[in-house]
Amino acid sequence: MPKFNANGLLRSFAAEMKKPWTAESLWYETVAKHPPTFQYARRIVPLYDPNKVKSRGKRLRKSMYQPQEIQWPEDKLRKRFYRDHPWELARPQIIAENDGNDQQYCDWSHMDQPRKALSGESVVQRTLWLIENSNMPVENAYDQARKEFYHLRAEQEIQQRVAHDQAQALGAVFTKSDLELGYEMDQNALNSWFDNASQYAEANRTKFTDPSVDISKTTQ
Amino acid sequence: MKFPDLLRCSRAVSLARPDLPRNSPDVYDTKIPILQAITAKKCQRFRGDWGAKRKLPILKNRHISIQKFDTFEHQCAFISSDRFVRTLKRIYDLKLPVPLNDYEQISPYLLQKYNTFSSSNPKSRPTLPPGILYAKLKLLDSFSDSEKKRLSLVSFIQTKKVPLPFTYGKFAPDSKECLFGVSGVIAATSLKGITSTKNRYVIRSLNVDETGKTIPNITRENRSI
Repeated sequence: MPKFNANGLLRSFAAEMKKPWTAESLWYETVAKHPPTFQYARRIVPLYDPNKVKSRGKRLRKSMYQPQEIQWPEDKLRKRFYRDHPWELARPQIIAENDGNDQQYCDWSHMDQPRKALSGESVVQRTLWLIENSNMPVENAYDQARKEFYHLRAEQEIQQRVAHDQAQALGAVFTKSDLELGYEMDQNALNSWFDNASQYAEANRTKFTDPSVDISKTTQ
Repeated sequence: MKFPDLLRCSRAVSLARPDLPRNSPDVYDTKIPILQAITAKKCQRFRGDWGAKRKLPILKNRHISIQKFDTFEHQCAFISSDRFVRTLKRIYDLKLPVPLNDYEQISPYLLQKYNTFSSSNPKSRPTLPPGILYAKLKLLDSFSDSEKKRLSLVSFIQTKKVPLPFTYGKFAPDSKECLFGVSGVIAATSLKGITSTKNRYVIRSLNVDETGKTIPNITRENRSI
């Protein structure tokens, strides 16, 4: 007995269609006219590379029906970039899509994009653009994109510092940074420890005091 | 856009896939980030929509890393990555110096970006028109000596013992020079004129306008003399 029966699903959908509050699906009419005649689970075998599947016996049979890994030329560039710059991974990104047309808003003839934050993906796409349009080898294209990236990162940092100093000079008051808060918390912890230790020592003064030896008795 | 490119150009696919060696330590105990830190807007986090294949529960963390988008148990495996994001922020809070060879070429355009969507393409950069006031403040107490020298080469305005009716920011009473909020006039419109140190202006004194505005008396200081 197969896990999913297509005709059974079709019948259950037909029963569902009879309910007055259910709207008809777009695909229902077509599938009802031409119902599936066999199970698709094991009939369609994906095209696979025999070099990747090097198993024998049952393993080969199992791995044939499992989906294969999708690879693109960007993957190597991404791995290389993030292996060289691991702290770029610590800059948070948003991967929830807005409309799915991010590539159409970008022109990779230059690195800085108006609608995209500067990240490792910019280096990857810029490298691909240089390879296709400038006929550069991969190494040179990657190096040029990387240097442009460094330039823009430094520019961003300098802009932020200048803006911070300007705002401060014009009267802005900033909250404490994480480091200053950390110093304060450390100092508060030390202060509380000192108070507790003082109280404990005061309460147990007799315990920690050595008894005095009466020397006059020993000489007599 | 073609159909096969929809997956290739999506944001989820553009994440860096980790390539861990076999005897690598656990993802939780690494000292450098291995997985990409992911965040979401507040409305997205409320709905559990982090951009993954499935919805995630409502988390207190603001940054997570997705290990696998789909597992055999039909779950999305994710871990927290607040640690690395905070560490990177603290590294930036240290304010380490940024060495840059062509700082002079960049610095005239530092004030050009008024919004985050402006492009830094050189072709679309506007030329500086004459007569517009720009401010490039020099903070005397917050920079080191090397920074002072570097900034003095680029700054347009140099003040010399001019008393001000008001004080700004990090004004120190014992400092020899004081900060100036109102800027000078740029007479040059090309790159060469701006970046060169010959076009330096000196504020001699201050006057008050009929409407009460403070107007500086600026004279050009020629270095060839």
